[in-house]
This record gives sequence, C-alpha cells and structure tokens, in this order.
Amino acid sequence: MNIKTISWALILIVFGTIRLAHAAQPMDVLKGPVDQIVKILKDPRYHAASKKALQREKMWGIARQIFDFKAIARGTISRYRWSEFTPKQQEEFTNVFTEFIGNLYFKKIQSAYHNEKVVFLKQEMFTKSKARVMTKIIRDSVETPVDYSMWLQDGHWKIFNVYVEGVSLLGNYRDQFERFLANSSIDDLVSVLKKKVEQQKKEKGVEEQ
Amino acid sequence: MRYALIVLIVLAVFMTGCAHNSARTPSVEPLTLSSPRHSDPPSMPEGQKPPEEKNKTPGLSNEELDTLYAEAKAGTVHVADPIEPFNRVMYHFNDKFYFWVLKPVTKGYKYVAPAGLRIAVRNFFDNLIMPVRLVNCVLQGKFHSAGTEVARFVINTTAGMLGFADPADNYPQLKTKDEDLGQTLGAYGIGNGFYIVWPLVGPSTLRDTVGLTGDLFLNPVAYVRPVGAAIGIAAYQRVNTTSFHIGDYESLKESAIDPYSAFRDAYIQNRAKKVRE
Repeated sequence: MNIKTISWALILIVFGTIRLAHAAQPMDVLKGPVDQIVKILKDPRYHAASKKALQREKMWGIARQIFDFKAIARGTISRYRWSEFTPKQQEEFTNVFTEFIGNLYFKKIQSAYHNEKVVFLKQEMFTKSKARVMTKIIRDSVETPVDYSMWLQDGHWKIFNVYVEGVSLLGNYRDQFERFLANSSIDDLVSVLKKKVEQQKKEKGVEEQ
Repeated sequence: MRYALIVLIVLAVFMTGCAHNSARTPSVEPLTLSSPRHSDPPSMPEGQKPPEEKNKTPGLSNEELDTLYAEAKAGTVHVADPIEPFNRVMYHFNDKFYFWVLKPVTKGYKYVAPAGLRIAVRNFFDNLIMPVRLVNCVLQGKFHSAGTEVARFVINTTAGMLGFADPADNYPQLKTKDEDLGQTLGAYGIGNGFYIVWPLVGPSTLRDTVGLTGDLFLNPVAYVRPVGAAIGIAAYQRVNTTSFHIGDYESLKESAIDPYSAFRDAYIQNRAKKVRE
C-alpha cells in the first residue's frame, strides 16, 4: 500500500463520516426548510394578494423536498384496504390527498401568519432511520406543540407523520377514511377529496381578487 | 342550593373555554358498536398480510410499511359513542353557535381589545384557577409540579399584579402543565366511558364530565354572587380565550371529510396525550 492509496482511503473515511453525521441529524435537516418557509412568508415581495399563488408555489417546492407525501397518503389507508385499490386509484388518491393537505396547510399559514416563532425542542431517535422531532409554534404567547415523525429515505430525512397537539395526522385520516370506506367506494373517496380541492381552489380565487 | 347547582351547570358550560380548538383524553378500549354506520373501523388484523402485496408504493420496503402502519395505528384512539345521534345534533348546535355567536362577538372584542390586554386577562384567569391544577397535581402524586404551581402563584399574584402579568414565565423551571380532574381520573386508570358533546361546552366524555364538575368546586368564579355575574365572567373568559384561536376550529373542520368524527378523534387523542404527560 502506498501513500496515495492510504490518503485516498483517509479522504473517503473523513467524507463518509461527515456524510453520515449529516444524515444522522433529522432536527437539523428540518430546520432548513422551516426557516426557508418562514422567510418566504415574511418576504414583502409576496405580500400583495396577487402574489399569494406564487408564494404558495414556492412553499410547495420546499414542502415536496421534506415531506414524504407518498408515504403519508399510503399511511392513511389500512393495509388491506390499500390492496383493494387499483394502481390507478392508488395514484389518483395519492395525488389528490397530497394536494388537499398541502393546500390546507398553506392556506392556514398564509392567512394566519403573524410572526409566529418556531422553536425546535429536541429529537428522539427511535432507530438509525426513524426519529421524532419536537417543535412548538408560539403565536401571541400561545404555544402549539407540533411533532414530526421522520425517516431516512435514500439518505434524506423526510417527514411521514405530523402531530399537532398530540393529534396524529395519519391516525386521524386513517380513522376517517376507514369509516368512509365502510359504506362508500374508493372512487367516492377520491371524488370527495377532489371536490374538496376544487373548493379550496375557488376560495383561493376569491381571496386573491 | 338550587342556585349553586345552576351556577355549576352554567359555569360548566362556559368554563371549558376552548372546547372547539382543544381536544383531550386517555384510551378506552375500542368498544366497538354494533351499528356499522358509526362504529370504529372494522379491525382486520393488521399483522395478517393480505395476499395482494405486490402493488405497493415503489421505494417502500416491507419493513418501512410496517413502520408506517404502526405509526398510523398508534395515532388512533377510539371511544364508544352510543349516543351519537344526540351528539351529532349537539355538534351542529355548537357549530352554529360558534359561527353565529361566538365568532362574531370575539371578532368585535379582538378589534377593540389589544393583544396585550387579552394576554393579561388570560394570565389572570390562568392564575385564578391555580387550585384546580394544584389539587390535581397532588392527587396524581406530582408533588414537584404542585410545588411549582404554588411558586408560580406566589410570584404571579404579587410581582405579577394579581396574575395579570406572568413574570414566572421567565423561569423555565417554573413551567407547568395543564392538569384537571379528568386527567387525574385517567391517570388512575379510569376509561373515557363514552363520548358526549355538551351544548356550548363541546366535546367531552363521561369521565371528563365528572372531572369538569369536580373542578368547578375549585374554581373561584363559581363562587361569585349574584349568579348573573358569575355567568358574565365565565362568558367573558370564553370570548377572551377564543380570541387566541379564531381560525383553528375552521381549519380543523375544513380538513375533515366527516367533521363530527374528526373532532371526536381529535378530542380523544389530545386527552390521551395529556393524561400520559
């Protein structure tokens, strides 16, 4: 073994370690996008009503990087129900549910953002690839605990569940969808969600006028 | 005696404050109801994998799917709802009450009352019901928290000018958690019983209703005379509390495909979290 090989090996080890260390901190991974979104919300360029759609576009871009929307949609349907979905229904459902919850979230923060502060409390590592990050949002000195379940997907930490005041996003929709599907078809569920998204779009239109 | 009873009932109605935006509770075993319309999801054993497992989301391994489903299942806490028809009527009544009365009044109040004043009022009432938290800390054996409650009360009542200011908030070691009798009973292992939606009060359960009534005996406002004054104070407190949460109820409602059951689940889950803490 010559010097060159050893130095290459060292370089590889050093960089490998850095990469691992980086991947191992879900809380830090989450801070970036949250700060970016807060920045966009504060940016006066987007404060005109006509710019809200553009602002939402920007936030979507960031959210898609950090939220594992596919997994979230999948997790709201129980295992045996999911197997009853055709691949086309699976895809349709995933898309419309993603749009639905994304719109809800952005509408809420766009209309209600008054210098809320996001405080990162701590992270809990369950396994090497599963963690929970605890945060709280402070508005008018009212504190709302928001926790994120994150997992490692292809080397990136992604959110696959959110708890607001202890209420689980996955759990809440899972119960609702299960009850709905007990009496109605999968296509009905997709069309109800589509209607909701249409409604969201209409409301946005009104807001922006 | 009759007066006392009326005051208790009316106060129960108003004092729960954020019935709309908060939810709370512990777990009762899924007492599945016979009627399929509103019973909890038919529980197909989750461990039993159906034969058709091939068309899964690309990228999710079986192990990851297990993680995902375990997470989703952990987030579901069920409660019996034998009086659902009554509860649904009450839910609609409360919904109308919120949009037609509480929200317009609160918006008017918010317009005239600056945030500083509203926060001071909230602090004052929080400080006032210290006995409720103190007694429930003791009942749960949380003596450290009980001590913290006393320390907070002393600081905020004196340096905080009767509790309108919250100087104790500057000391992280003086942080406290909400405690009430419903949580205490939950900590003793008493289940929810069943779900009840009270007019004006909002979501509750048999256990939490008992808790709420018990806590009223520790609430100084309940002892205000004449009765009308006590009601007025309670109503004002409700409006003040709501002023911090306008929009929360609306977003939770919009987020649901069946708001009634979504609010029920949220209440039960949030209470479960509080009992655990």
